[in-house]
Amino acid sequence: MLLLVVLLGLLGAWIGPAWSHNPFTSKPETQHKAPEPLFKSPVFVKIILWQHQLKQKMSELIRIARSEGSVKPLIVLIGLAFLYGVIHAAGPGHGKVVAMSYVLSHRATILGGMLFGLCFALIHALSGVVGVLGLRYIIQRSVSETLASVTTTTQIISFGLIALLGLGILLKHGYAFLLTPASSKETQSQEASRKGVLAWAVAVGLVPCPAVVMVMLFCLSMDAMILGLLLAACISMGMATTISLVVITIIMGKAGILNAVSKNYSIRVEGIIGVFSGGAISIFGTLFLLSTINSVLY
Amino acid sequence: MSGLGQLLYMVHRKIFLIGITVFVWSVIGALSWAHPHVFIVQRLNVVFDDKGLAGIKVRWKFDDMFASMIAEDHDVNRNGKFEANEIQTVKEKAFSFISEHSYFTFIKIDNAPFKVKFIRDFKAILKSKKLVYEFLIPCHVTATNQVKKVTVASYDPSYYTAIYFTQKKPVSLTTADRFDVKTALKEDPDTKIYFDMIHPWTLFMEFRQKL
Repeated sequence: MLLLVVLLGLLGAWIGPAWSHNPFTSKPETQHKAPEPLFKSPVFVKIILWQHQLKQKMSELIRIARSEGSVKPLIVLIGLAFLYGVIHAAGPGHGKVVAMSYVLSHRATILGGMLFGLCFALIHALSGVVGVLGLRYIIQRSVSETLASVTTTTQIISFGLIALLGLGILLKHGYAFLLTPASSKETQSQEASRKGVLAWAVAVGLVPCPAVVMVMLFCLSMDAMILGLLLAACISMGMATTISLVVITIIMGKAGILNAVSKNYSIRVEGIIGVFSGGAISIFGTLFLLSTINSVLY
Repeated sequence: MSGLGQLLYMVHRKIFLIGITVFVWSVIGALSWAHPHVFIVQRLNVVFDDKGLAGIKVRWKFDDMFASMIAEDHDVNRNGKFEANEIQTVKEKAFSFISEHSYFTFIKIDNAPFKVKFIRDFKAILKSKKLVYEFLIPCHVTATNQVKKVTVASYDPSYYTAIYFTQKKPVSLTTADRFDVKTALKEDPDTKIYFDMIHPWTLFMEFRQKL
């Protein structure tokens, strides 16, 4: 129970800034709220500098690749874009909470977790690419302004889906825990792990990825759309790596805990974890949905 | 192993596993810090008039990716530079919102806060795909024989934006010949942002009438 409380407490810190908006281009009431890190360290100042340098290096190399048409900077760029994706997805948001809930509430395999990471990252990046190209070539509207409203709309859909999926987990595990005979509980849990990966990935990845949006815009300004698409794919793979790493860590942690208790007891513990995860994700999803709707209305 | 021994072994194992899990998540959480998103390299020009300090001219050079976003939206005729009407749009749609945050410039005069409510002479310059904002913050402080202390801290309270001073000539003075002026750039230990982790870079300035 203590572990559950600690884990759920940690979950909260990862959700916050999913609706971060740029203070230069957004009204004050919809602006960014900085997320509180889990602990404080001067190392963070270094990380900021590295992030800045990485971003500047990428833009420099894009310029060189575009002007010289050489392959050498392209190889470095691909590596940097991947690294950027890794760091970017490690930031708050990016489906880690849902990924954790998915794993905590299902008997997920490592492969299933990796599949979730990959699906999420691809959808998250694709949403950014489609958004930028759509705004530029089809709708022909201001990217920074429209992006804020598109992000808000997709967030409402995303948080709504997350709340519903969380409710589904809560009801399913609650029903299994309270009403199903002990002998059939294990089978149900195993079946659940193979379902819904795509639904979860869509629910979380729907919001356009700001990193992909920035890189795409920069490449478009250089008339290098193909390069932009290539880098978006690399960023996406980087994000998939981070999310998969998070999921695998949780799978291993959960397996370690369940192995530490007897089999009968572990099924009960798993049921309780499922009920708590479903409840938490449903509550978080609803709260963020209401908060986003509130920012639109008032 | 006795029943009590087995129980202690189980309890220790659980505590160990809980500890490991919490530690792993703390480390991942700490490394997960992916803010800020916009980067600015800043240069300040301190402007004096006959009486003393007249204001601070701020020059912000943005990171290339933010620059490309602003150019995409506001360089309407796609000629790679901003004309007067485009500058006005940039001011309205990609600058004025930060007036709520004192234009990210927090001034103290002899340790008393001076709220930046408005700016003048805003310019948005787009050149070779680089974006620069320039603006003047009027701030009048009459010089006397006593030393006046002024600090200028530049930061985004939400930490969406990181602001650094440029390495080359970060601070310059204009028409300061009549005054003794001392300037220093350092992190302000008394100001903390982003959950008390960051001390923003700050201009510390002292000036008085030349004797």
